[in-house]
Amino acid sequence: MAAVDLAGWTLVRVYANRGEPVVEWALVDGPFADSFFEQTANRAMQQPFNAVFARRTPIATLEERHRNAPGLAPAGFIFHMSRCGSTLISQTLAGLSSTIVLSEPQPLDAILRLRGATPAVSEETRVGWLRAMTSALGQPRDAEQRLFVKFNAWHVRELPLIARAFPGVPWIFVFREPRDVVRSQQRSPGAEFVAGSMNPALVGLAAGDLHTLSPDEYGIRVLAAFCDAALRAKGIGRGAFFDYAGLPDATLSAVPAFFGISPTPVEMSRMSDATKRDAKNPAQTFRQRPQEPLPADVERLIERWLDAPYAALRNASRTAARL
Amino acid sequence: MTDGRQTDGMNALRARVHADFALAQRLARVEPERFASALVEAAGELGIDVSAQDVEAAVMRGRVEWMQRWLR
Repeated sequence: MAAVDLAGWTLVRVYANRGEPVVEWALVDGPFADSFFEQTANRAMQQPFNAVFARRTPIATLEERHRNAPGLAPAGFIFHMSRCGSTLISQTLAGLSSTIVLSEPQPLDAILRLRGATPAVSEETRVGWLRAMTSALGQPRDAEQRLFVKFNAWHVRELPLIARAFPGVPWIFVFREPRDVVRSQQRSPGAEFVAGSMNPALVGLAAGDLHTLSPDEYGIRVLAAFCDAALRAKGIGRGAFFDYAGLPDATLSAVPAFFGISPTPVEMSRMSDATKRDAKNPAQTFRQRPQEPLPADVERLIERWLDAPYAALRNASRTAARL
Repeated sequence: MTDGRQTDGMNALRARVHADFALAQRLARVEPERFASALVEAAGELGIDVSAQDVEAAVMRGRVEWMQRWLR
């Protein structure tokens, strides 16, 4: 296969065509500075140029590019249970100089979703693709020297595979009092919380659960599966657990310290500014929402499925704080 | 040809743009409202025949394909 010159082109999406992953490239003006990767990718693809000239290559092109231009090695990974301050952390880390922060990049999600795909894709292949994909996403555009990746909430269940692809990369798991997470999900449900929007096996449930569980129980058990996966990953590599209750202070101190970073005063000023904004809508100032009471049946489900993992996560975060 | 199919001219132009990053960058910087006329002009300089309608159809097709792939 002839080498494809993709210098200057940015990976914006991976999709399947007759079971084969296809990689889509565009010209993206500026860094991935939005709260989420897909916001930047969507804006780029609305440009007439990219609508006409976006490039599509087989995934083998990525592996070849990885060998020739490896890009930045990840400095840290952010996992989370959803609605718990992980976007605040990623936006704060983006205040560090020379740093790329990729927030929930769709191309990595596409590769991780291949677990259980037909035809089967081996773990070895997925590890190779994760490395090649991260290498393509971590190409410095302006002499950046550091790369963080914030994963989608469900990806914590793939943490062992991700750690295998990137041994030694430190990771954090961010969590929150489950009632607050459930309130947020009920106000504006994420894909992981809505039955049928994802393969239930990927979020820790059985196919039959789609039909037998109430919408609330489905979402709550998905959150429990994320927390359980994080707790199971405790011994994998170097990980730490951060409670939303300790934010935003921890984003300016404990989180960068865990990743081995001492922000300069200028960086600290930018990071501090980021903590005052709404992380998912940086044009707005952050404000705490009122805590409405939850219906009794939802409260019972949280007690049954989420209170114990939450307590275990709090213990894990205290243990880490003492290290 | 503006019936939604790819034209030979658009395919030829696409190949030239993919092979010439400086040309790609120049076209990517064109303001959206001038994009069709700039593309017709650039294609003409390369001896490739495309019309403004071809360009507009290609833009629309590209946007629809991008959105459809999100829905899968």
